Order: sequence, then structure tokens, then C-alpha cells
Amino acid sequence: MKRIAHPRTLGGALARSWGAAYCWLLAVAVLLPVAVVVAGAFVPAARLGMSLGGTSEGWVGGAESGVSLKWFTYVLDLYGGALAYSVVLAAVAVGAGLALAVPAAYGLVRHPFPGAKVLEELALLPLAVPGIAAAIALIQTYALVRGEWWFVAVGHVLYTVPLLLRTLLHALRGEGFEAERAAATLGAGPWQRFARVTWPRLRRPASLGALIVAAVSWGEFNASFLLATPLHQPFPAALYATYTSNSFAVSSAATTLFLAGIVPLLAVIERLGRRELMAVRQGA
Amino acid sequence: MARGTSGGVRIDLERLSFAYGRDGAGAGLRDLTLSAPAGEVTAVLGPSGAGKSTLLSLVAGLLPPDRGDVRFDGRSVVHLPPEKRHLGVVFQSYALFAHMTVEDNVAFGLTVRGVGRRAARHRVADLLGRFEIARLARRFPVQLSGGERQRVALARALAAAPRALLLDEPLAALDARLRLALRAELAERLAESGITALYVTHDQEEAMALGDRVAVLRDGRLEQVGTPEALYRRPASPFVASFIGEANFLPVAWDAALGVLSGPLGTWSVKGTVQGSLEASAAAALTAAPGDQAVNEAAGGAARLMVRPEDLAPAPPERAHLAGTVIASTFLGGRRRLIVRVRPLDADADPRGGAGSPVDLQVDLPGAEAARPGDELALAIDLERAVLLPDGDADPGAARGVAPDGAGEPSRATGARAPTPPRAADEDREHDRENRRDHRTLDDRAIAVPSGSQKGRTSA
Repeated sequence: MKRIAHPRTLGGALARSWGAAYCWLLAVAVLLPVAVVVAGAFVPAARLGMSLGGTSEGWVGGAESGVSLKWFTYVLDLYGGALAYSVVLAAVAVGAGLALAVPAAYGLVRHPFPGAKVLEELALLPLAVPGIAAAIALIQTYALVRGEWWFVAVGHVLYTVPLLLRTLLHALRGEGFEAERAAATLGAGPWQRFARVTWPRLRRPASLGALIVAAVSWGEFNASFLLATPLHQPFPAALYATYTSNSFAVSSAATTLFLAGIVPLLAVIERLGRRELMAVRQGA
Repeated sequence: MARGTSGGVRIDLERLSFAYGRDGAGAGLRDLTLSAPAGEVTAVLGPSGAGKSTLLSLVAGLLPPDRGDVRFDGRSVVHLPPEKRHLGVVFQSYALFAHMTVEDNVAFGLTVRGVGRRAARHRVADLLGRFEIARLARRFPVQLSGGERQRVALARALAAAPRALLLDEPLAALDARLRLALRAELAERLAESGITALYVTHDQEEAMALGDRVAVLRDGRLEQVGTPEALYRRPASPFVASFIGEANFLPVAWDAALGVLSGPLGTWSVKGTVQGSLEASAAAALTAAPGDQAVNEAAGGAARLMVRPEDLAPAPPERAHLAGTVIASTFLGGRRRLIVRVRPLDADADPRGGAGSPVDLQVDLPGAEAARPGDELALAIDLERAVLLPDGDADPGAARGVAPDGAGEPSRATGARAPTPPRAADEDREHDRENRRDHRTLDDRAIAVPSGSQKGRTSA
């Protein structure tokens, strides 16, 4: 049998440092492009050692020196509307999603009816359909309302509701019915039971689901790109436009703004998710 | 059991039926009639799948019955939702609210009913003090031990002064040692609150320790209800006999006219009080399942004689009913449990024409007496404590054949169909246990029969 190197021995120390070096290298390889893009939003591309074979001359802004925030101003001027629209989309996706998913999940778990299982699987189906396919299906089905601002929002809701639903179904199944039954025997009516027993225990998984929905809505490109009209462009579509028609510095600034929206969300999701997992393990 | 005066309602279940699912399989209830007297603890005992928890859910209003009625003090509550029934329920899992402190858990039943903050806090503090959990007031359920959770669950159920308390296996989630300690504590608290309680359990010791009366359930039907003593001494069926305590079953035929018990293990004449008690037990079993063919034959055909291990005792050969060889001997502290293999004395007497295979009997000896495997032992049966039962299925785990309707509540039925008027079961439970130890033989008993008895018959 091969012995695993003990950390205190020389072999162990060597293995550990090799391991650390490997992990750092991997992290740098993965994060370097992101770092380059973010840096590109503040300093001209030439300063980063990327001459880009002279094509940079043709890009808006050209080769200037020094750190500056002007690309952000430029992006906000040009695509500020798209940014705001994406914030609205995320808010609608979360709000409408919760309003739809909480009663649906409760009904499916607590008052199962014939066909509930089939319905549940159907409701989760959009997770398996590519965004492009879902968008085309929506456009074909509801061509008349295509130009409305809320059409993209409908797409986002349909696309993200299954995520919320799944989180809530899982939570409700894990909690079991006993606490609500106990509340009923203690004199609590249906609304009191929901407000005082069911919802407080759903709050954490629901917040987690809402954050995931917000993150997905914020970053969703495929469906948004197809559903959007030139009048109502969500931010990822605008991001795409900067890549195709603006300089590296402008698209870097747009990307940085995009990351500024999603990275904090992901960080909170990570934390909440870990807490949720621990709570499940403790049987709380 | 000394009880308080706060009382509670009388709970009557009348011909209650409930079936799970479309095919009606599962632990439902079938035509169950049972009364829980006010201020008493009625233990509902049965193997898993007997329908005990279903019964509790129907009383609590958590399930709607298919048929039948639930009455509190004579008033039907079957149409009331659980929140309007004003009961306290202790669930097997305790079902404490994980996001609330102990204090808030206990206060829940008060605050949802609109009791003022101050009054609720006062009542909660009082309860936490009485249940010795005041120091846990600010803790969350996840921080409590199993025993502490159980107390919180009980305090929460009692906080709003419910009309009755329903307990669903409240000790089952605890380890064996804690269970025993909390059982005594729970008995005390129930007695002190004087509340009507339905206590569901699969543990016969628990049922006997806590129940003023015990209702034995099987396959969604009531097998028998009575005091623990009555069930032990006068089981109405082989099922109850082997579910409550331990039982030996001897194959016999009973000739009521001659007063003779005969079987492959021997032929014994009985008379006087012995005959009376045997006939009473047969009658009780008969009324428990009047339509059951096997039971009907108990009065004059193939039957089983139920003998408790402590009702078999070594005796001089001339006074013994049975003889056998000790094949196992286990020291159990206060007593010694023997397994005695008994040889059939008279194979021809087996009413079923059995080949006369040996029967293993469990025998309990008082601690001091020693017996080793291989010892030959002559045994006397305390026939006055023996019970004549139908030749039915005695395995508590096995399903019983479909019995006709109307089994109702056997212990309340009178012995109308009995060959002789049965003696009240209560009469027997007063027997001093010491009486069972004095190894008298059948003939001694005949002498002891009161002179007023009309049943004296000549000994065979």
C-alpha cells in the first residue's frame, strides 16, 4: 500500500508546496483573462502590452495614457438604459417568481392532487430547454406582444421560476408537515400557520432561490437577446453590442459593470448556500 | 392513580372508519368504537400498522373520517378543523418550531388564540417552571436534548389548557434509559394535570404503566379495552394474550358438561371456581368476536388454554398437570425463566388428532429456585388464572383474517352468548399476586371452593 505523505515530513512539505503552486497556477490561468478585461476598463490596452497589431488606432478612444474612468461614463451614457432595464428585469423575475412559486410549491407538497407529480415535472422542464429554443417558442406563441417591455420579463420569469420552484419544493419536503400540523392543533388557522410557521422556515431557501434567480436574470443572454427589440435591450445584449461595435476599453468597462452586478450576488449565494447546507445537516 | 380535578372532556369515537389511498390499504381504521372517559389516560396500544396514529389524527381533526363520529362530551366535533377542537397534541417527532425559542414555542398556542402578551408570558413562565425547563427559555429546539424537547412539547401542548391531550408515541424517539425515567415523569404529570388523555404506543409496558385503561388495536379494529390488569388476566383473544405480557398456549378441548379439559398434554378435571373462571374467560372471548367460528367452538371444542409463565410452578408428581425437561434456564434477577419441553402424555386425546409433538413452555420461577437444563420437572398449572381462548392466531405481528362487523368494544359487552354468566373481569384483577406462587394443585383448589358454589363436580 502506498503511504500518504505526512505533512510534517520533508516529503509532506514538498507535496504541500507543490499542491499550493499548482492551485495558484490554475487560479491565475482562470482569472487572468477576467483581470485583463477589468484592467482594460481603466487603462489603455497599449499599457497592458497588447498592441493589438495597430488595430487599436481604429477603436474609439485610441491609444491614450493614464488611468481613467471615462470609459465607464461613456458606457453609462450609451447603455445606462439597458443597465436599468436589466435591474428591472431581475426585480420582476424575483418578485413574480416568488409570487408564482411559493403557492405552487406549497400546493404541490402539502395538498397533492392527482397529476401533481406530472405537473411538477412539467414546471421544471424549462430548465432543460436551451434559452434560444425557449425564446423562439415564446416569440412564435405570443408574436403580438413582442414589442412590449414586459415581454422579455415574461421570458425571464418563465426561465427562472423552475429554479425557485425547485428550491422551495426541496425545502418544503425537507421540513415535513409536522410543524404545520402541530400549529393547527395549537389553534392556528391556515393564514396564521403560513405566516408564523411555514414562511419563517421557507425564508432562507426562498432568499437563496431569489438571489439565484436575480443572478440568472442578470446574466441571461440567449433568450434576452432574441426576445429584446432595439427599444428594450437588457444589459447582456448591450454587452454584446460593445464587443461587436466598440473598443476594447469600452467593452471592458461594460464587462466590469456587469461583473460588479453579479459577483456580490454570487458571493451571497455562496454564503447562504453553505449556511443552508449546515442547517440541513443539523436538522434545524 | 390519584388525579387532579381540572378534568377534561369525555371522548367518544363511534364506528369510526378511515382508509388511506384509493385501494384502502394501509393502517386505516375499520368501524372503531371507543370511549376515553374524562380525566383518564386511555392508552391505545397495537403493533405498527394497527391504525393508532390514524386514530389520533382523526380525533385531532388532522384527517377526516370516511364514516363515523367523534364526540367531545357528547357533542360531535367531526366537522371542526383541528384549530377549533382545542386539543393538545404531542407528536412523536415533537414537531417543535425550529425557528422559535422554547419560550415562543410554548407561548404559540396562547398567542394565536389572542391571549395578551403579558398573560401569555406569565402562563409560559409558570409552565416552564413547573416542567423544570425555565433555564432553556431562550434556547432553540436544535440546542435541546431529546428529553428536554419532550418536555417542551408537553408544555406547549398544555399551555392553552386544552380539553384533552393526545400523545403519539412521545417516548419512542428516546433511548431506553431515558425512556424509562421520562415514563415515570410523564405518568406523574398526566396524573397531576388530571386531563383526559389518549396515549398512543406500540410498547405494552408503556401502555400499562401510563394507561388507566388500555385499548388494544389490530388492523384498524379494536381487539379489547380494559384496565391493564383486566387485559393481562382476562385477554379476550390469543392476540391480546400474547401482546400484553407473555403467554403459553396449550392445545385443549373443553367439555363444559363434564368440566374436563383434555388435550395431547393431558386430561384435567376442573370444578368450582376454576370451572367458573374458565367458562367466564371463554365467554369473554366469545363476546369479543361473536361471529368467529373458532371462538364459538371455544365453549365446547378445540381451544387453547392460555397460561402465563408465572402461573406454571413445579409440583410433586402426584399433583402435577404436566411433566417435561428443562431445556433452557435464564437468570433474570428477581426470577428465573425456564423453557420446559413438555411431552404429550396422551396423544389420543388431542382433539385435532395431532401426532403429539412436544410443546415448549415458558415457566417463571421465583429467584431462589434453581433449575438446570436437563432437569426433569413436574409442573402444576394455576388453572384458576388460566384463560380458555379460541384457537385463533396469536402472533401480534401477523394479520388476522377478516372478521365480521360488530366486534365493537368487547369488554363492554355482556356475556349474553356465554354458556354460563361470565364473572366480571374486575373481580379477578384484585387477586393478590402472592396467591399465584403457592403452587397449589387442582385438587387443593377443589377443597378451597366456597360451599355456596353450585358448580362443584366430581373429580375425574
